[in-house]
Amino acid sequence: MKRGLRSLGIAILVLGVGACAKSEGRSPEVVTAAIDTNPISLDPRVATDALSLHVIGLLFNGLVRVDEHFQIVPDLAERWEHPDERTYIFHLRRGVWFHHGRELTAEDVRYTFESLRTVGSAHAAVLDELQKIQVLDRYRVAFHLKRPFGPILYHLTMGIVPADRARGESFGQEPVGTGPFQFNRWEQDDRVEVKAFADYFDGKPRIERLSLRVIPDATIRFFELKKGTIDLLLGSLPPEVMPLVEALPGIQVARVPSSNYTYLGFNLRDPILSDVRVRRAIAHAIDRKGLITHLLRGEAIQATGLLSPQHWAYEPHVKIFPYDPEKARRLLDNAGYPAQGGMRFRLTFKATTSELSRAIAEAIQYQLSQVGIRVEIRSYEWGTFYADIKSGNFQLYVLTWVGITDPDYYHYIFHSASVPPQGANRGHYHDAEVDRLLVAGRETADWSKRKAAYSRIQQILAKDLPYVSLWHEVRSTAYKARILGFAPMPGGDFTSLKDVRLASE
Amino acid sequence: MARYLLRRLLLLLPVAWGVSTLVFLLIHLTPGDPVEVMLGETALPAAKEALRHSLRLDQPLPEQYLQFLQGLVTGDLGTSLFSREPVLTRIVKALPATIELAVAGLAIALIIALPLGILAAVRQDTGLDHGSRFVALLGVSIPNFVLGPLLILAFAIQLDWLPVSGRGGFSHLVLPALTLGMALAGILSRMVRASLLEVLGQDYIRAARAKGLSERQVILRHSLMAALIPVITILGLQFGALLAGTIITETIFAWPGLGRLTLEAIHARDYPLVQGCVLVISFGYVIVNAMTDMVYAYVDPRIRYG
Repeated sequence: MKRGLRSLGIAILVLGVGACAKSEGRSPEVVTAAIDTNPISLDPRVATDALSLHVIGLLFNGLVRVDEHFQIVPDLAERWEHPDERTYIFHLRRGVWFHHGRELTAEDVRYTFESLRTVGSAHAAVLDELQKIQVLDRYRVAFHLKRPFGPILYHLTMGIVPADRARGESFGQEPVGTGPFQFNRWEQDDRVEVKAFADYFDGKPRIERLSLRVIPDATIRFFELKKGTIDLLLGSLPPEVMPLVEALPGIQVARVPSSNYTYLGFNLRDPILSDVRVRRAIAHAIDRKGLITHLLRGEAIQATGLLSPQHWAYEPHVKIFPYDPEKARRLLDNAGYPAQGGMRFRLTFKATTSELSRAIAEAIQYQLSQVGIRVEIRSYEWGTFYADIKSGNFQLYVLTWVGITDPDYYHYIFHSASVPPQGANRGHYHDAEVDRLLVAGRETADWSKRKAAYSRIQQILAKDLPYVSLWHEVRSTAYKARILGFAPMPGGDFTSLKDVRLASE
Repeated sequence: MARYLLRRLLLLLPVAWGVSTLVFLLIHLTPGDPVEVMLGETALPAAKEALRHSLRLDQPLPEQYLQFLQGLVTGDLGTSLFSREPVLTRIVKALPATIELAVAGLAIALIIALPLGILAAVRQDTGLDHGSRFVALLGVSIPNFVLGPLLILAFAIQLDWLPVSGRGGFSHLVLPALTLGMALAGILSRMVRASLLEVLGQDYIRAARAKGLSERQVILRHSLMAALIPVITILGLQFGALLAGTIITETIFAWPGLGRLTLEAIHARDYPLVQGCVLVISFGYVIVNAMTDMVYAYVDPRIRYG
């Protein structure tokens, strides 16, 4: 027993000394960033979660990409022609190299999309819109559509994979792309490391290596930042921690309104809520500015609709129902709900068990009580909550849409044919003009026509109020002052890391 | 001994079947749909159907269960729905980190509990005993998610002795192992104290004392081994709690182990991965308990397995 204890002690000492010897030295050209979850796959055809897609954005390029206004701009295709409503011809850049040293050709583009089906890709739905992908020559590829489909270009932002490398099952763990960074190593649940790709077509990145450390707990991400062991915090921090972050010496915070959209949803089949005057009264009764200031510590901007103000199709001139409890009371009186003993009617509000969700529910409960609406909160764990929302079993709920890019999402959310399970029109909104405009927006590739259609849709929805728009949360990125040139993106992607450089120390 | 070992190992089979069936049913009964998690809210029904088909999730549950069992018999735990990697590969990658953490947590628990428990028993009802009880109570009652950040704040931020999180050398291991081991240390030290007190009251100890043996010899030579038997039982049983503790500890300390893999798999409803992880964890539990039984024979000469 004694001998056992002694050898254990020796073992600990040996381990300790060994550990000290290999304690990690941080070289100056390496940027260490914290991310909050482990990427799931780095194959652009397989990945669907936001974090994998952000890392993939460093390693791959699509034919086209989305800029900070959610507009489609050239990427691997330097330009494209649109000879008729159903044909797109892409002209590839010349001299684009994959990380394994082969030049990109039109054949890789064709392979990438045609292999979606065989890899069981979640993105394979785009193939339903495609008649054929035709390689015209080494640098030209044509996409023939079955029918005019405006949002097609958004589907072509997916990363292009090399046809000679992407067939193996391990491609998602050892990806090869054309992006500014090339894959170095991935230690599951610990870190992903990438290094600058010297032959990147748009110029080699200014940092040599980038190490993305997976740190799931927000408090620990904050501690690492405080200790100085990470340079850049790409994972989010709770709003209440932001003042502490900003107080750290040598740390800067960059903010950008995100495209995430938080809203209050109504069930329009409900006898009370089907009356637009009631919905408007509720909109007037909610103090959105107060909610943002107190619940989100100011880390959000008020929303007027699904699209954030940076979006190319955003329509600023829409009807707004500002906080005005007096007006709300008048509207409810007129709608035939006079206050009896201070109370007009009851509504149930479904929330999840998350702290923020319940806090929002309680704040709205209080604000609506001020105009005579008694709200009962029911909070459920996510699975049950979401199943109820999808099946239309609710009166009021608050939820957030993430990843909105093409305004065609309006079709999915508000077209009368998009009620579940076909789409997400969970409140059963129905308007003939909106339906017509949604189809028009989908079936044309003329962007000025699309913008006009979606502008009108935003105006109608702001008046009809199937949702009360609440806010777009602000995406905050904290980083050390030695990092220069970092710009946070509304969609949360990491693409600006290519242009980041380090201040000379 | 060999026959006993074989019997214990054979017993693993029904346990494995029971656990895997239970896990399979539970995870499929939980609300939530992996396809929805993968494709997000905005996917079209056709896309969801296609993916469900390609992942074979559209087959009836009994059929999926049979396929799962078939795979299990041939040692194939299936493929992760999300990363498309074999489940076994992912588990093998994560397992060393968890074993390292669990063994270190166990070692820390023993290093704290044995001296603390022995001292408390020898100096029964003195200030030392009360102090040890306080430490034990503290260890048991502070949850990992409070203790972990507190330790980080003290040793990694204020004193700047140790790293905050991540897996690396020995210095990275100290705080998570301490976080994990504290609760067990609390339970064990109380166990050691109670068990040692009981042994010390027995006739043969009185006889040893009467022979004129020193107190040190009485305790270390004659009492401790006998007192350790119930402690070892508890140790084996508490190993399950230790493994459960790794889920939280690994998440706090960004430790890339099996606990976190399990948690991620549950969040994503990655059925095969959840099944694989839980299976491996329960195997670990059963094996450790079989090992504890064998340690009895070493500690207590009266116990022999035939």
